[in-house]
Amino acid sequence: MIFEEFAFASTKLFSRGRKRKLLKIFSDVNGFLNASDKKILAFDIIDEKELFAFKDELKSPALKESFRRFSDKGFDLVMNYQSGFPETLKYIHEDPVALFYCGTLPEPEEKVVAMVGARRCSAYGRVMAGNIAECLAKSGYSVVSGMAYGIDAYSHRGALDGGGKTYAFLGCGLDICYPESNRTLYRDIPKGGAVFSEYAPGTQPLAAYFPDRNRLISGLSKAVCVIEAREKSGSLITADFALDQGRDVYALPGKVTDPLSCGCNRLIAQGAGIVTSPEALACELEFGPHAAELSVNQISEKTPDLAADELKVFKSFDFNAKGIDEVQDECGLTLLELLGIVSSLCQKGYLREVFLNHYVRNKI
Amino acid sequence: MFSQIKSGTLHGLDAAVVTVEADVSEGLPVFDMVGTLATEVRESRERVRTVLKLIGVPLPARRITVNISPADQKKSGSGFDLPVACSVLLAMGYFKSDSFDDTFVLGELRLSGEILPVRGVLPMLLAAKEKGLTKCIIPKENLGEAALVPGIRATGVSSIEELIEFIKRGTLPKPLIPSPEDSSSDEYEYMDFKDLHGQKAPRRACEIAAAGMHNLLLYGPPGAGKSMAARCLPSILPPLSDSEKLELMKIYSISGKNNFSYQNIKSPFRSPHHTVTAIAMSGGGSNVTPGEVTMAHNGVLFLDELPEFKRDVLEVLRQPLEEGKINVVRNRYQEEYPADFLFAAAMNPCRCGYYPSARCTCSVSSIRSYLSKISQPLLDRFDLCVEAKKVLITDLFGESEDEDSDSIRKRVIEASMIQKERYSLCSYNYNSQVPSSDIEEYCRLSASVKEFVKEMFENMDLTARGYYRILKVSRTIADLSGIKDVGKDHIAEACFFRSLDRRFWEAAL
Repeated sequence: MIFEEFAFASTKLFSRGRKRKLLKIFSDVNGFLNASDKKILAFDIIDEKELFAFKDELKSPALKESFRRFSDKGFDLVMNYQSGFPETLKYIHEDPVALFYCGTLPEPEEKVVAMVGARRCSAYGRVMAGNIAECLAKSGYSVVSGMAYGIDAYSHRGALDGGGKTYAFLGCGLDICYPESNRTLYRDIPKGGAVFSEYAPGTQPLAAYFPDRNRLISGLSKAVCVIEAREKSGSLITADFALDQGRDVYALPGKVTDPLSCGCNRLIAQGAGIVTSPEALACELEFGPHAAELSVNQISEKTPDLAADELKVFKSFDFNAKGIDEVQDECGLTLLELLGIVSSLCQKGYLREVFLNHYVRNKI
Repeated sequence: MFSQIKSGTLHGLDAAVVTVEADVSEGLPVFDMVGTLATEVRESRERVRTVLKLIGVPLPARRITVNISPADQKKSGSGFDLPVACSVLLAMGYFKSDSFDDTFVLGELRLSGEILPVRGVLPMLLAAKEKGLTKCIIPKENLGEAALVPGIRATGVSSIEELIEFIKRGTLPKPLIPSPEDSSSDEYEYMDFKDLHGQKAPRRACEIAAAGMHNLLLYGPPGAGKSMAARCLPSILPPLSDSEKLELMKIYSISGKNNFSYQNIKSPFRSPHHTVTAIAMSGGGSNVTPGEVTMAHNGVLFLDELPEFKRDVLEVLRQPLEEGKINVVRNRYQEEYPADFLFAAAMNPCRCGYYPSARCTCSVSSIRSYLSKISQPLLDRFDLCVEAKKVLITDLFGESEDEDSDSIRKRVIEASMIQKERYSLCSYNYNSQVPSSDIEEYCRLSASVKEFVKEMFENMDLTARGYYRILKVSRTIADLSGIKDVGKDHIAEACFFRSLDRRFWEAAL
């Protein structure tokens, strides 16, 4: 990364489209800067005012300072003409000119799957996102998502837990961690994979940037898996991009009555692949449709390794929050027994307390 | 000639006796009042001058000086009109010089000569009694309060003419006994638990709260009966002791509520609306008056829709909840009021009210912003926390038997007796007030129970503060069942009612 490239990628003076045209003509940033003003202006892509403004920017100490801070943090920049720039992103509509990133760029032949879904997800979505991402990671897939609350975060986390690589595309500058609560992910993702941003450092997370970065999430992947989506959801925008870009779309089915599964079920009706189990998804991605039919029933056959009472209590809970007093009537246990079992199930990771005395399953 | 009359001024819940002195002597015709006086006291000069003229005793064209001593003490309150008028009349030689010996005088004058009731008669008479005074002349409406101070012969007057007649002839137009309908007019009824249908958990939580004076937080969806449960709470509080009643009478007296009789006084239930200001909550104002925290003393302070209260209002509660009193310091005064109450609050878990059920439509950030209004230190003040669930139709049809307040109260009273006996040598009365350093002494756990507590502590990821709260609550639960040692069941129940933590909203999403 050189300073001129950083300046070219960061500048807001010319749009992405004009930057792309300039690089096509002059082949790289140095070629553009070394050309005479007259030659540049002759192509009529940028006018004189913009060119001089950009040259002034190059001299500004503020930009130099911003560049220094950027590289001090270990961040990097890859231009679309450089080696290492993800091949798949070059052939999408509105392909990016440059990507700011932190971490390691994906290998040329790396198998990447996108996982997207609602921010405010259900416990079902949370558990499934984690399981699917973990299973994909173990099967040698990398997971790409958007590092938002909810499904995005659990997918990244699941992939990390499965020992795989994961990539995140931010809707803000690379130096801003948004949302703040995902700071541990922001720190952990670059250890194996990378955090990407198309936006200049310091760009605030504005609503308009998020749908735009969704095209990169689907663009980097070979298939997109939608975990939970409401009827109007950003995840469906990603699915649309995926179809435009020729990627496969999978959706996790849910209850017809559940508003959080509405978007997913509609995708299935439109012909998206159905995720019947994490293993089935991994299998299908590897060997094509119908290959996974044999492994379809894996989920229901597994029973957790728990004592009889514990199993009874665990089975009384589901993916909707349930109060401990509701379960008490079902199980016929005293409060003393029930609290002991529930707290030890939490400790073992089978249940999760979502609110005071309200629990959901944390495993299938 | 120079005269002296005793009167009083308020300091917090207590009063100080002051001397109103008057002198009428040769000099330029001036009426002067000195002695660090508040505006309403200084203005009494004009009222006295006019009233005396109207009753046919015009002030002489001489130099009149009134001093209220001690001079370094700020005097406020509207009750100085009557003592000033009397001392001026006394100095003029209108009365016999011994007419006001050992007599405490208080009252506000209207220009017609009528005498108006004043605030704080009870604490002032108590102070007067301490100073050895044996008689008092007060507004007729305040006689009910005087009845609470044995040893002082009270005379209630309704106009200055009556007062003059009484001093000159020793008679009053009619015998003065506070009329009975006056004292019972403001009696209020609590809600009864028999009208609260279903709601097993909130009922039980209220019982524990009342027995150990634990602060209680109720949460749940709208319409579940949170407020209803809180309104039933005072009906099961243990009866007030004599000293607690007297304290309440004093508070009512200084806030100008003089229509409560001693017999009718009950634990107060205060439920200020969420638009209340910090000053109204703490007490203060240009003429210092007790705030909601003091009005709820020895009773229940209930804040409905807790997150809707302004943050500064909620932070006001910290000192009272910690120390049982509030120090109101302003430019012109510094007062200490008692404020020892059972703090009950109700809230929805999110803006729509249905979190964590699937019905909730709030976004992540809206849930967070809703709850970020309540600080963790405030949440820490709640020993008990309980969910009021949606009412079932079977509950409404009365198929489940709903215990009434009286039978719950019996258990509460027994539990409070056990506590009083246990803490007879301590400065506190209830389990909730036991400091952390003493808790292990009163809450001895056997080895097996300790093991259970340890397990719960680790599995539930409790804090040290949370641990002590659970011990205190389980002590109360054991007291309610009359058992000497705290057992596993008690700990488990206390864990079930353990208090809400910010972590839930931060981790769950």
